[in-house]
Amino acid sequence: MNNRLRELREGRGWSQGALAEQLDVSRQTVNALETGKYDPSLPLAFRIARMFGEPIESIFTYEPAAGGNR
Amino acid sequence: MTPSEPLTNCRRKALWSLALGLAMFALAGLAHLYWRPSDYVLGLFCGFGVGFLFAALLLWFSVDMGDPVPKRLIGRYQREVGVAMGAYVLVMLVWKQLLHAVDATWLRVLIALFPALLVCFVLRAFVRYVRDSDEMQRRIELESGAIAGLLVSALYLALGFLQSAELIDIPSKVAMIWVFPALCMLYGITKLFVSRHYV
Repeated sequence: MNNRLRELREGRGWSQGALAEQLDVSRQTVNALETGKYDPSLPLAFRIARMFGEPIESIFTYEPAAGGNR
Repeated sequence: MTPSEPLTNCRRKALWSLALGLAMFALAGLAHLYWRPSDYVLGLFCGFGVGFLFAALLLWFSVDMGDPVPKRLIGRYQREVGVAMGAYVLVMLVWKQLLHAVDATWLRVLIALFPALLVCFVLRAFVRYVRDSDEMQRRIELESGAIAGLLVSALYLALGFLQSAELIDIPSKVAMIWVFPALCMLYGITKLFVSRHYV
């Protein structure tokens, strides 16, 4: 899954730590989300979407792996 | 890491754990020289020494997660585990003597199970820590726990086969006592690898 989290966060001039605090997660989680190493749960994805005032699908895009069925 | 780079939080904790491990060995050595305690007590000190050294090794090579969980959560976890483990050490120092000192079976059962009760407090602290962590940390802990559980099962299965084939002879009390420490050790090693996946 790809996302625009870094772009949105940097657009608001927030650090990873500041975003993490607002989302009530760790900075490591924000980093893993931004680098695509961790996909958020649905409630966390909704919290992120609400925080940035954008629909989930504009922040997170699903691209199935080639030949895979994840 | 270059010499000018400050120590990460994990490595600072690793040094503390190393110091505690060495202190345990020093204590065992001093006790052996001046107090002549039983092999059981010496073994206990050395066991905790090995435990601290192992923890130091794991912490040194751990990924520094910056702020993996809020400090409040870590503080609570360390406080709860520290109290339970401190009580465990104290109880284990007199555990055998207490067992030998009483005759009533029900009392012996209570004394025998008392260290397990203290370990339950450690487990409670761990469960509270996992439940209050954020969702990714929870996943790391649960993945590590599941893999460690499978590894311990496979290890004991392999040892069981070797024992059945009469190629090894591990006393059952040793085998049973070591299940939990083996799980903890493999959990630590597994977490080292699992957390790297998310960094």
